[in-house]
Amino acid sequence: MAAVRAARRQRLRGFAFVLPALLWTAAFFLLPFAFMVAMSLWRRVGGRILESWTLENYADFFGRPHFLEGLANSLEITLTVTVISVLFAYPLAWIIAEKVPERWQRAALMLAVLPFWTSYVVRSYAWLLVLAHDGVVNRALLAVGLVEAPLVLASTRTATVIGFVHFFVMLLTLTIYANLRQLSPNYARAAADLGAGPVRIFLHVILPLTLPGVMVGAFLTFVLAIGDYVTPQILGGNNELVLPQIIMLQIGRRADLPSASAMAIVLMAVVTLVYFACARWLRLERA
Amino acid sequence: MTADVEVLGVSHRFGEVAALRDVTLSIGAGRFAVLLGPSGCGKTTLLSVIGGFLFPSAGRVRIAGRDVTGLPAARRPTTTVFQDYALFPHMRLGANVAFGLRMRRVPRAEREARAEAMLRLVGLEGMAAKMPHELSGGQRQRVALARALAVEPEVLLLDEPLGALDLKLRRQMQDELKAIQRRVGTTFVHVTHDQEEAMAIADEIVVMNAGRVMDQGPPERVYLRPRSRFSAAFMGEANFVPVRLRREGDGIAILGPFGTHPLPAERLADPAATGGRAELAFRPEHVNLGDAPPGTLDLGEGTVRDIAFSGSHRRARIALDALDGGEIVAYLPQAMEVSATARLRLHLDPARAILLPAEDGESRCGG
Amino acid sequence: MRRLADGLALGYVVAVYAFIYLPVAVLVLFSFQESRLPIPPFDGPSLRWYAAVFADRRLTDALANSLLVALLSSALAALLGFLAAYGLARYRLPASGLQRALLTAPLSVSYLIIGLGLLIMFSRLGVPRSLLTVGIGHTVINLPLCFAITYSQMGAHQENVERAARDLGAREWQVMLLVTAPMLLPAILAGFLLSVTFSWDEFIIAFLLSRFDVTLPVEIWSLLRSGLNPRNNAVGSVVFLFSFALVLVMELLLFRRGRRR
Repeated sequence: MAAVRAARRQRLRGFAFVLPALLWTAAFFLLPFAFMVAMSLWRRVGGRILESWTLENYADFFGRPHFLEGLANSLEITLTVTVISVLFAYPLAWIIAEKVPERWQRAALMLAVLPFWTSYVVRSYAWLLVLAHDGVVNRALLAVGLVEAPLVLASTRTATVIGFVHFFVMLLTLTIYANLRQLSPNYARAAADLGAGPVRIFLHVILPLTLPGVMVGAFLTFVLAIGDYVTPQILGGNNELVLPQIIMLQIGRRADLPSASAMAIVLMAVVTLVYFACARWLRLERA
Repeated sequence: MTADVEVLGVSHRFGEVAALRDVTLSIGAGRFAVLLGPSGCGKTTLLSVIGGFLFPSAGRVRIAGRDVTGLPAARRPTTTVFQDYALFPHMRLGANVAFGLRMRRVPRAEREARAEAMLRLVGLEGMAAKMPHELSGGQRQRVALARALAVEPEVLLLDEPLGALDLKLRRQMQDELKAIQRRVGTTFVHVTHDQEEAMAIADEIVVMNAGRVMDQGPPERVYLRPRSRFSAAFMGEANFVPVRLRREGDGIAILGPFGTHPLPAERLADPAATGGRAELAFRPEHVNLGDAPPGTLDLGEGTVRDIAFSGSHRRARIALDALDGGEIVAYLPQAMEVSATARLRLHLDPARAILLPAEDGESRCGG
Repeated sequence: MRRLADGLALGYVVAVYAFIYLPVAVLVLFSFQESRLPIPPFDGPSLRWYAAVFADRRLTDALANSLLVALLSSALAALLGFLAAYGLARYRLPASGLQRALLTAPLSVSYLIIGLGLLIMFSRLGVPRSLLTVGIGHTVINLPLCFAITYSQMGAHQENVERAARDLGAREWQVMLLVTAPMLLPAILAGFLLSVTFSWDEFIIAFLLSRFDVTLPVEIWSLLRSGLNPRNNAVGSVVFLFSFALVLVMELLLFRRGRRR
């Protein structure tokens, strides 16, 4: 049939457009992943990589408190950061969407997220300046007499959390604002019309309707924070290592790629588990 | 440039859904044809098949006698005005209108002159340098028309082109569309679900429902002598009363709630069906008041149930005694003030009656 | 009551903005410090650290490297992303859901893991680490972005516009070149510019995949080992200024235009 042949020719032509991107992704995303999986099943013994299959890297990871602590630190910090960021960002997004006059909203939003675009290495360094022993925060606290001696802020978990929260408040403000703006104002009007006050409108109408969007933003925060090396390395220092720091140590100091690969895969597995755990709130795929 | 269009036995399926079922129709060269029907009736699918955007599962399409069934849109002598206008958002109006000529390698100076002429035709003279987003909906619609006409197609296809405009602008654009069609002489095939629009512009109306052609003919014929219950009901309001038919000499007689009454045979939509069940249909504006003079069809007495002022007339729902309280709709004169419980006597000019073949399923009155 | 609520809202906004801008302000302010420590008290303004930055060949080289990698990898990502979006939006392809999932998958994997995978593969295959490998890595992370942005803009209306072009006699390549690409230019450009900012900022992949020639974030990283230093502030401020300019261009060029429509 001519029609069938024409349809196949059409398909081939369409496929030709997609093929370069598919090949690229296969060659530089899927294939490296396969290499990494294979590597995680090998061993580094005496400065050489032994290419025989074993699960020992995984056994090592779950067998050593040091590594498990890293995972626990990662999870604790990430969850703290996610919760605090949402709690800070939601009111800001809401105020911008509801209280700021329409014509200034875009500018207000731009202003709120501008530092988002600075290099994250630079951003972490800037926080180090702020939180340093003689930095502006300590100077200010001493000046008003809130503390007697400078606080130790740098190289702590608190510093890591502050650095992360700074970044993700901006990200979440963007996503939550977009969500709030998508809501038709008629929902709130209908609720008010039926006798709900501002608090109940928010609790029963606005919040439930924006919750899916908030969840997507929170998940994004989780994924980005748990995989980040720079912020904890610069701000947290070497005290309570998180998983990415431990992975980088394996790559750098110990040149142990098999063990680093195994940990990277564990990290991915954790993210995937979290994804499936909250998949019912995350409507990432549109029907 | 103009040509006739023939659609022969075309069927098309989208997966399980039959969008077109064995559609056959022909549209004469230079005619303004309107495909009319409710949404989902297949009219836009049929337009896509004629335009070469869809290849039908079965059947042929001929334009100017040439079989174009397998040809893509670009190689057909047709162009389309899309419902959302589909103007090129990044091109000025001049470039939009001249695009087809550019594809045909018409030299720049010539195509610019031609684009300007087309813009003048649609009333947008001197606006060639504007961008589409600077225009109102009605103006965009005109640009889409100019762009499609610039390549001098033999057949112009219009997919609900007035659908996005407000009512007043729509009525105004109808008149302009018709004037432009007269001027260029191209065959127009226009899709709409608005029967008033169809009657205002069409030389020829094709009524469609559920993928089938229910009726085709000039507006007057389709309105006054519809060939199916569907087209009678879709083209304005109509009352339906089930009757039986009997052959009587040269004519026929109807037997039903209004007694036995002779009618000329040409009132039958389907001349073959002279026996058995049928439906008597009549328009609300054809219902007359008062005692039935000889030769008219006496509808008997009825009680007004509800009456509403509609500008040019008063629309009344009347429960007829002969139908055991079944209601019909009648348009009463504007000047006549009737209370909601008044008793009226009604009759009908048999020349206005329509006899339709009975359809299966319940036969209802009114509507 | 209402005034109180508005006052609270205003106070909250000011507090959060202060939090957001605190590090940036401190960074920029102490880049003009005269003495050797970027901590209070401020004793500037002085441009000596900026002079030091622009006199540092390694930094200016790194800056040039970063620009090169960002522009080329983003251009490639934008091109591949546009082609893939066109193919998937305009043709009915088998397993198109799977193809879309594959193309966007790198978005949900952390950069560290993508970088580590590439590092392992390149070292096993004997490919030396260089700006090229960094660029490959950046294209991997930016391709999904460019694809998703362009794909989301290819709606039914755009498809109708392409049909109109075909109807008027345009061939496939003409439709793509004269209609689809210019019509989607805002989306393609948005993807490209966003990719440039991401690549410009990206550290971990560049760190893992580069060797002798490095990009700016990697160079800054090694400078940070020297601890707090006004010169680092100056570099950071320059980087911030560049990102800021890029975002401003994006805003003015794309979103303003988008709003006018």
